[in-house]
Amino acid sequence: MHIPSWLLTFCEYLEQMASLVVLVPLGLAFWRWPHLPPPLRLLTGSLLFTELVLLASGLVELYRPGWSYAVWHVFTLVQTLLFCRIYYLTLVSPVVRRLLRLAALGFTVFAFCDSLYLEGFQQVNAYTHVAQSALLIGLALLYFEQLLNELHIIRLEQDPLFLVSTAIVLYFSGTVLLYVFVNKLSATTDHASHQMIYTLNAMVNLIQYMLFALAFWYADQLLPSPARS
Amino acid sequence: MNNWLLPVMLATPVLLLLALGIVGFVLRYQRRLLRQQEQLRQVRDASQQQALEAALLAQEEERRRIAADLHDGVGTTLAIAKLHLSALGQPNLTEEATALLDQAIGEVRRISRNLLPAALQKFGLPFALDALARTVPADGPTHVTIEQRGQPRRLDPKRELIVFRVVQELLGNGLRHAHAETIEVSVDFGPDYLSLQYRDNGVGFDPAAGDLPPAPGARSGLGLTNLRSRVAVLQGTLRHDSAPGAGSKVWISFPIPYLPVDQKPALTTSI
Repeated sequence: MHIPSWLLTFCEYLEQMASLVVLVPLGLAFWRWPHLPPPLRLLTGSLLFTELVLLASGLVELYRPGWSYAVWHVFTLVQTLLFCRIYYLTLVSPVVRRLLRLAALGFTVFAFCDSLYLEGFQQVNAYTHVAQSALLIGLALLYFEQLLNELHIIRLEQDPLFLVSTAIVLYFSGTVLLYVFVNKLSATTDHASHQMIYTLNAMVNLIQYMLFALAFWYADQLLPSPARS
Repeated sequence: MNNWLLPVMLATPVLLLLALGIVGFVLRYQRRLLRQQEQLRQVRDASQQQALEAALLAQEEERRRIAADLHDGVGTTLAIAKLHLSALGQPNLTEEATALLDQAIGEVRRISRNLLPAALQKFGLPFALDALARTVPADGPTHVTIEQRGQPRRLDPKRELIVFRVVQELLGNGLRHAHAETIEVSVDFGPDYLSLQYRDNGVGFDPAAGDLPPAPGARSGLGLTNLRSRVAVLQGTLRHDSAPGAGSKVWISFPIPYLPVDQKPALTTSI
């Protein structure tokens, strides 16, 4: 399939824009830092960590080509654990919180197995990514269920954690297939295919960052709940 | 181009749409649940209001029955007994008994009038309030004034009775417990509201102690519970301010539709 050159150029610009847009939620997070509840402070930490990993993977790629995948393996694990902590602080049910601890432990063990034995450090940890998507989408759905049971928030679209959960559901459902086939897709030397993968990722990233920015904007509207203290 | 890319590019938007659908469903479902919750709350409020109104109606009906029994039964019997005494033709022997009977007849009339204020039914709230103020002796330890502001007019009989009972209760509580030198009640007939202000310079009470059992001889302010019930029936608001030794103030306001000037309320009330 032939992809027109203008579309490829557009995709490149879109990708660059998506990597810059992260500055919007980060800027808002620092601006509203005194009002941020613990889950949103953790989210800020997660965004900062993402940027640091981007920088680190660039440096590793420069001096030890081929080892940048290892950095991303660590990133997947730490990012998942950070989001698990966010939901641990947000979800109220003791049973769910106990299960969440077990799930985080199980995920860590699986991620290590995947990186060390199943797929190794020399390629993208696709299995871990799929497990991450399933875990985080599940947690977001559990938060939606909690919202519907509690009904203490009148305007859901202004609830920061609803926006964060929406971002997570959209990002991970939009990229899960990409990660299922990522190693098969990246085996090709076709530049256009690579560009399409990056563009797809950049588009959902853009949506995610905009929703995170909105979450920080509405940060002071977060209602206190027993689990959020 | 890689063979795997096309299915991924096609399936990803579908997954995204599904995810958006879930978010949309949560938003819509939450709105619907909130609406249902609000409707339930309204129904609950309405039924509470009805129950409160029914309880007050029953109370007023009971008062009316007791007033009628006192007036027609006990009052008549006492009057007949007095007639019999005077028929004996020995005023020297019956003078003291006749005086006691007169006192009892007067007492029965007073209780009967308090239970069923005839002046309220016949002449309306403004007149009944004046009459209420006159029942307190001017040379007593407490000086009572009931001031009426605005344009005093007739209300729906049910509302008139509730407002009258509120003033009666405020005054009764003040006279019984406040040990005040002055009690001032002002009734303001506004354009679409009626507000009451009560003020005394008596012993006051601790508003925070309302939930605790009162100490012997202490004023607990529990009369406010009855007042609140009556005010709630007319969907009014009640505020009070008091402290031990600092007197008491109560502000009450009702949203009230007045009767047109040419329309007279029915003499027999529904309560």
